[in-house]
Amino acid sequence: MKFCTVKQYFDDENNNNVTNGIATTVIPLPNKHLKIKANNKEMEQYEQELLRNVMPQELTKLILAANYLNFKEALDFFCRTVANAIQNKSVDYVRKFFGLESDFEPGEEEKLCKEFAWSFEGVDED
Amino acid sequence: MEELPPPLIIEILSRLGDSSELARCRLVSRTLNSLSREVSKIHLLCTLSRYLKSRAPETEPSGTPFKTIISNLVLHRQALRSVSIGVEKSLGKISYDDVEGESDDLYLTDVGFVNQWLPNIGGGLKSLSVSDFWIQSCWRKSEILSLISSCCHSLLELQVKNAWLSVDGLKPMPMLTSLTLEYIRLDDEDLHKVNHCFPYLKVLNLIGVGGLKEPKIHLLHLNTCLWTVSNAPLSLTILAPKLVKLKLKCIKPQSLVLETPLLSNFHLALEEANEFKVKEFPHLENLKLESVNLCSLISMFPSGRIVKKLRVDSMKLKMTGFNFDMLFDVFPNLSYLHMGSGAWKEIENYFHSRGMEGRRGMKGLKEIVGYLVECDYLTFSFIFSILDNCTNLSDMALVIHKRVDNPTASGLISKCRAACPRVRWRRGMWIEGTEDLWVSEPL
Repeated sequence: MKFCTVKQYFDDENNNNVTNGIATTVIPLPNKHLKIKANNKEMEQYEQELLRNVMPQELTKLILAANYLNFKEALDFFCRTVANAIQNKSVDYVRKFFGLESDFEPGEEEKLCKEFAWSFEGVDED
Repeated sequence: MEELPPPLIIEILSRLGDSSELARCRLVSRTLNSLSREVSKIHLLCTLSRYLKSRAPETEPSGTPFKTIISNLVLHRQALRSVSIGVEKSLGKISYDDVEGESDDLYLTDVGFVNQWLPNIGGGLKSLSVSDFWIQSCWRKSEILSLISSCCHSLLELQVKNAWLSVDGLKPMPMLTSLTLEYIRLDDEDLHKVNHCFPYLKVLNLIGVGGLKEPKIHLLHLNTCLWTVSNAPLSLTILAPKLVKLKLKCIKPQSLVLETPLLSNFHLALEEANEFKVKEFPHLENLKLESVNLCSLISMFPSGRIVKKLRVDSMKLKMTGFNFDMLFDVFPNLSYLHMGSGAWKEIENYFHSRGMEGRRGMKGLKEIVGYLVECDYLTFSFIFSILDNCTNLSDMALVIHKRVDNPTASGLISKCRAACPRVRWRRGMWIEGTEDLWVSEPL
């Protein structure tokens, strides 16, 4: 049933450019999941290996693909990967990671900084 | 990142480990600030470093009190479905001597504190977990259960650790299906109130719950239960007609009564059984037994004809007459047998003094896992006798203690393989306190 949406995805013109690289990463996941379902450690290792070859920017596209194809496990895995990548990092790091810029009003950011001062201990150096 | 629609950004934010991560994300941009408020989980632990900073004269004044952080995070968040607050495990190791008198800054089951925010968000809450700071909570009785039962009508899962809980004013919570109480002093001697107010529980975990006298778990919908209990209670009773999985760890209860006809997965760790009244287990397939006296426990066990997978271990090295033949008298239809190091030693010693007669049931055994503490020239003769009787064995794993040198361990496996090549042999290594390691053998 999962694979009906895959065909639709391929047929969808807008996604053609993104398809190849993403498809090769996303598609094999469900089978691999079934095989390694019982053994969490093996799955973790597989996930780590996958990650090594994937750039952070690509992760966004992978998440969109997994969501479109309704692959819950893949979506969970990719979202967790992004969450782990920004864990314990500074606000600037997170901005750079996502290519975002601060769009706060001048006073706003300071106010938030004060409110959440408690959350800044134990953060990695950039 | 701009391409990601808000629901997917929320999916990412929901997977950040701790709410302090989430708080920092609020400073990244306006979008993340507003979306962070949609995340339905709060998970915040007071770390050891935060605790130490709050007590150090240099940093103490500038830190925000932990309880204030929680209140601010939680208030007005009607979208919250799961709240988990607590102190890190490492704080459990702080000794009483290091702690000053009456402070309550980390006393999280304090009703006054919880009342500041729980009524506000409790209506939609599905899961609540509070892991308290034992030093500040153990001498203060908390009425938090009553408050939770008044505010959280949709709660499905509740977990409370390291506290002294009263059941006064506790109202029925028919929606609750999972309850975990860990290191709790509970003022409900016989579990009467627990049974009455949480009648639809499917999962019950009572780990180190004190204050019990003659506890009786009587829950008609209970499916899974974990109960570790000290020797204080006089009797232990479980009446659970739908219970399928049970792990019970006790010491020497004067009376143990189990009426659990659907039980199929049972792990029982018991030092000594005095009065052991268990009705038949017509569905019991998977059994794990740990005891000081395996011989006596097994002989009291109702007929284990159905049991297919059995794990046994001896807690102390005491020669009680436990042996391989006897195992198959009680459990004649085993296909899998796992022997812990104590059990293996007892069985092997018995073999060396009295031999092995063999039982018909041994021909049904397919897989054995054995934990060995030592390995000598006698070990092989014992294994050989097993192979001789268990003629349909296809898999055998020997997990040998690290203290046995590699050539000896390896030599044993080679000998076994040569004697019985049809069996798939596996070697492992174990040592107390760490995970077992499997050793791959060159072919």
